[in-house]
Amino acid sequence: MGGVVVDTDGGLLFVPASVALKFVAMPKLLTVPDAPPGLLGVALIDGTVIPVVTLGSSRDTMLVCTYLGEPIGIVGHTVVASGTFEPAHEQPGSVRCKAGIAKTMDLSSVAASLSKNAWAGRSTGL
Amino acid sequence: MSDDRRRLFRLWRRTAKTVGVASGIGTADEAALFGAHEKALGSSRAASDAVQRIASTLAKQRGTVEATIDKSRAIEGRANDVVLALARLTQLFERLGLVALNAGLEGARLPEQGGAALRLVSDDVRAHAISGQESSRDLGNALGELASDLGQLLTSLERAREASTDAAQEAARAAAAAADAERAVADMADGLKKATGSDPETVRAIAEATEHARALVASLGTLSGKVPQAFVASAIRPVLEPLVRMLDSDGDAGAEDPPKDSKRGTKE
Repeated sequence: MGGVVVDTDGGLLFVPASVALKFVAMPKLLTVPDAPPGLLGVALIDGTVIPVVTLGSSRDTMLVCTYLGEPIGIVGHTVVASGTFEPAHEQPGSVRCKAGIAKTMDLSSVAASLSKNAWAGRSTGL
Repeated sequence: MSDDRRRLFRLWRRTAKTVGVASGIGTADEAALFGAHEKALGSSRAASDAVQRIASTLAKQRGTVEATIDKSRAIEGRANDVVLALARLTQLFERLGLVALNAGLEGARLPEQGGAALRLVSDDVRAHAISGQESSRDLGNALGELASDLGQLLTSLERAREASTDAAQEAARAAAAAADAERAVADMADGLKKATGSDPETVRAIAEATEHARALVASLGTLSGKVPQAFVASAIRPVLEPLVRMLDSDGDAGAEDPPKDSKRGTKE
């Protein structure tokens, strides 16, 4: 399986090559008022404003992914390796790398939690 | 030789008379006084010269310290430039690492055969980028410590310069004081001449002659009892004959008021 393995505060995560677009240097971020806790802010990448979510405290690089055709920036990780990895049969949906077993990152759940938290905030405000 | 001795004897008699009568001090005291004056004059001149040499050395030292400060500041500026250059180098290695990661990601998208080579190159480049990044960071840290040490060195040099400046001011004051002392001691010579009615050269010559006479008497005293007196008298008579004649002829002229030293010298 092709992709990239990153180390986060929650452990190793595997991002498939179909989702991971590229790595960029940490850009300048613009914070969004009343944004959900996971949304770090927005950044300008290749002329496009994209949301940036964080998985941890690290701010070395940003991984640009695509979810439903829209780019999303992911920070708070340290890159472990990129390339092809063998699937870990004992844990379905995971891959094996030199650093250990990495779970495949569920980008949809991250995006969904952001939307839910955003709506929850609005309802609380009313 | 005879004229010189007569002149010396006249001087001795005249000095002994005037001093003994006018100021109540003897020729030996005068000699000691003038000797002390000469020593004081020599010492004050030596002190003045030494202080000037110290001031000169301090000026050179201050110049050296200032040149060292300038060089240290230049080195500090260069070290800061190198630290900035290393920071840029570290960023370049970071970007190179990102390029390698992206190449690996592209290799993962390609089919197995084509992507494998790209992934290998990606891993290799990324390893080198990480190594270069760590090395440049270490070098930057070492240079930062060096710049910090250099800053402390500059502080110490600044203190040394201030101390050198203070010492130079003190040396200037000491030089002025030494010059004043030298002038005062030199002026004291005129006062001594007026007070004693004599001059240093005469007093020194008389003192030397007195010392020689005492040495002669001491030598004769050593010989007495060991060598027959007649033998000694016959041995030294040719040498002392001119002196005895000179003392007889000049002693008659000054017999009206013989000074104490004169009496003692004649007796001896």
